[in-house]
Amino acid sequence: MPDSLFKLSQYVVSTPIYDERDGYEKHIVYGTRNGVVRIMDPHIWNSVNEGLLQGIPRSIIDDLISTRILVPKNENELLSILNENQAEILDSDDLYMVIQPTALCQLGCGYCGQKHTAKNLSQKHQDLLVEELQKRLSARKWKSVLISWFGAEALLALDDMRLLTKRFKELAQQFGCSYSGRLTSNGVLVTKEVARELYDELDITEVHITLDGTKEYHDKSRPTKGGQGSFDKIFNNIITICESQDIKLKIIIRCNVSWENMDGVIPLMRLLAEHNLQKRLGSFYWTLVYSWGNDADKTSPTQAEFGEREMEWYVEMYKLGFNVNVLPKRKKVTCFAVDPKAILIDATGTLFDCSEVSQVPAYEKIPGISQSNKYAIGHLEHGEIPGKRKQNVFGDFYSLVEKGQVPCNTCRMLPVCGGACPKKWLEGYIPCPVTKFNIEQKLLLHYAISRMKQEETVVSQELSIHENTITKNTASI
Amino acid sequence: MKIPLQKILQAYNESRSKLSLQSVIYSGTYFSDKTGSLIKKNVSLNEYLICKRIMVLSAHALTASRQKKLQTAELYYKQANFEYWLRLLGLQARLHCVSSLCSTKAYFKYCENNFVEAQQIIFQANDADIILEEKFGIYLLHMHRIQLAHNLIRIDVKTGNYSRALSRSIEAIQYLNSSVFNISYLKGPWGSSFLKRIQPSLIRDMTIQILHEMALGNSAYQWNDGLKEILHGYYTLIDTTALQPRFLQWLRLKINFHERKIDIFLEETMDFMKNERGNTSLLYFLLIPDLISTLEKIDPDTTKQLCIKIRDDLPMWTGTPRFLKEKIKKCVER
Repeated sequence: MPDSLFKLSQYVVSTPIYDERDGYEKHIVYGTRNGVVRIMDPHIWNSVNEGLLQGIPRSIIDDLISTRILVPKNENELLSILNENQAEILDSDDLYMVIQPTALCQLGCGYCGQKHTAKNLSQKHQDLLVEELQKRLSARKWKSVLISWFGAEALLALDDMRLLTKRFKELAQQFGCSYSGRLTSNGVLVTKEVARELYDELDITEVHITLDGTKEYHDKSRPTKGGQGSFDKIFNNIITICESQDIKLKIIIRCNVSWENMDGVIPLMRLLAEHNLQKRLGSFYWTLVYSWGNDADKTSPTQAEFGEREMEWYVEMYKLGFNVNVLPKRKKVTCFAVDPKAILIDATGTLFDCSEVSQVPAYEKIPGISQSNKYAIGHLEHGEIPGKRKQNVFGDFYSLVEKGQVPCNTCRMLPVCGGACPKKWLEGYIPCPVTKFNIEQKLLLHYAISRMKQEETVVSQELSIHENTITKNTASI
Repeated sequence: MKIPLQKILQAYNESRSKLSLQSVIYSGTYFSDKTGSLIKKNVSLNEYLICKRIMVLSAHALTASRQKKLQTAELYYKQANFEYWLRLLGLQARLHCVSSLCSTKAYFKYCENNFVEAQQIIFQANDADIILEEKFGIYLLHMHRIQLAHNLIRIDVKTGNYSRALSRSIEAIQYLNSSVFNISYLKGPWGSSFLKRIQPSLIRDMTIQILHEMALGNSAYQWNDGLKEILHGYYTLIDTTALQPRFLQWLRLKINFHERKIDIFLEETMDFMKNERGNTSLLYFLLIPDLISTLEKIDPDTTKQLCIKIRDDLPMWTGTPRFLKEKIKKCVER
């Protein structure tokens, strides 16, 4: 019979493991409300699971309460999580804008849902954009301005980026805010000189570049519009930048994975490792190719199928010396779509509250006319259309979760995934992260890596042993 | 100009390695963390679980308040749901929760600029601490009550009540140094018999903290006649044997700076820097904007060299309040 008013949180994943080195069974427990991992001996795990807390040492109780693995029986945890997410959004004092300065891109990636045209943000719209930023800065106190340069391929409008950045930085200074930028780029134009300028002059701290495997895979999925390969140029740029000690720009490499290039992920990792980029890169990660207003997702495995393969990749990453983070952290803000203060401006001056919808003909009532996009929430010339964000529903996503209109309301991964992608849920897809399908395996891998690191260095701060003192082998981790 | 400016640069170079990255801070949840462990043995499992949860959420709320995430802080207080759990708690557990929750909630109200409510909550925390101290023998809370007195001083500074801040902070310092035996603006009990139960190191550190806060309070605001009066007031009214010598030195520096006694200011600043031992680093940081603004009028080139060094060191000064860091950053990046 449970003896307390507290119980195990519903937002917990656990898996048993027999630790061969220590010679006894343990339980790995992942509390998603705080994104923490704890190791317990079975006696304690069983007691916690059954609500029999009387015999558990108070120091362990302290930790379980602090990490919200133990919660009051009367707590509506779903509501707590959603309220925390909303509070985070309301409290945010970072003014976030995504800007697509051009609708043009040199590449013709197979899965891309965008239609590319030779359209840059006009001078008139640039002036309106600066006015818009000023208006937002005047409306309330902000701590920082964060501009995310997005495409198509933003660097094809580098001159405009330069001019706009100068004006943005002046405004940020005038209003007492810090300023920074980030860039998503195909990497073709990210030369050493450009990288230096991005960091030193344009205050862009990181660039996300996509490589879809080694050359043989990447050139098939991301050729130029003329059908040529793009891998060599991009990879060479990355190497050159990383070899330059004075360039502080952080490079993050993303790999979009489908059945067609799945075998190219490990070769790519090995190639990056051959050039000693493991620690130099900001990070290296992969994601499934998904629908972008098209059928691109049909070429991809399911999350469950993908989940099996990615475990091999994590192991390889670790062996090659990359920083490996298999477990997600608490995610209070799903994406900028749920933040009513954030906005995207495309190259025609049209406003959006999602980065996956602009320039996508499938969403345009009149193809080629951005303002006819069903997800458009306004235009620089006349501002946001009242109520359009709510109509899009992205911003109201957490209400949908609370009402059970998406299955996130019963999912133990909600605190660390945030619901993944409001748009995809609304379009009828299941955008659950792969981690949902292989979390137990990831816990085991996380534990194994931590144990190996422990042998090398100091105790991992994430792991805490809650071992019964009866156990003789009390080596702490 | 009597001081070779290269010597000032040298003084900075020598002193920077001695700067402490963290200020001495006995605030936040320090006291409730320490005393919370004492109730483990005295309460039932359920009481303990409830108390622990309230203290954890209280700590989260404090962190959120410090980050100016007031919506999040308010949410944590709601989640703590103290009014609901109250009926299930015995007296000692209840008082601990009140002490913990009120301490952080007062700061939350302070951040909301709701100073009247902040003060009321401080008094509630004090009432809980008095019973815990007298009836349950948790003597450490005597220092927590002095911390609460200090929080009242912070409210005075924030609301521009400088005269009262001055007299209250002098009284608090004199109490800590046993020059007086009462803190009149916060309900007792007070007296030397209570202070004797506290470790001398804790008393010393609390004194330094209050002095630091007095210095911060001065520096956060524009120089005006009110502040000038306060600085002179500290200097002349406080028993100099009771006050920390470094703070006295710092006061002299500030007065000389504002009275434009440049040579004396620079010479004493150099001396102040060289004698930094890591426990008055906040006073050191507070001098930086004054030093740079003085030097740049005399020798822009040397000033530039100093600014570059400070700019590179600034990210490491993690204990520095944000407004001060921003102020220093603006100075060195000009």
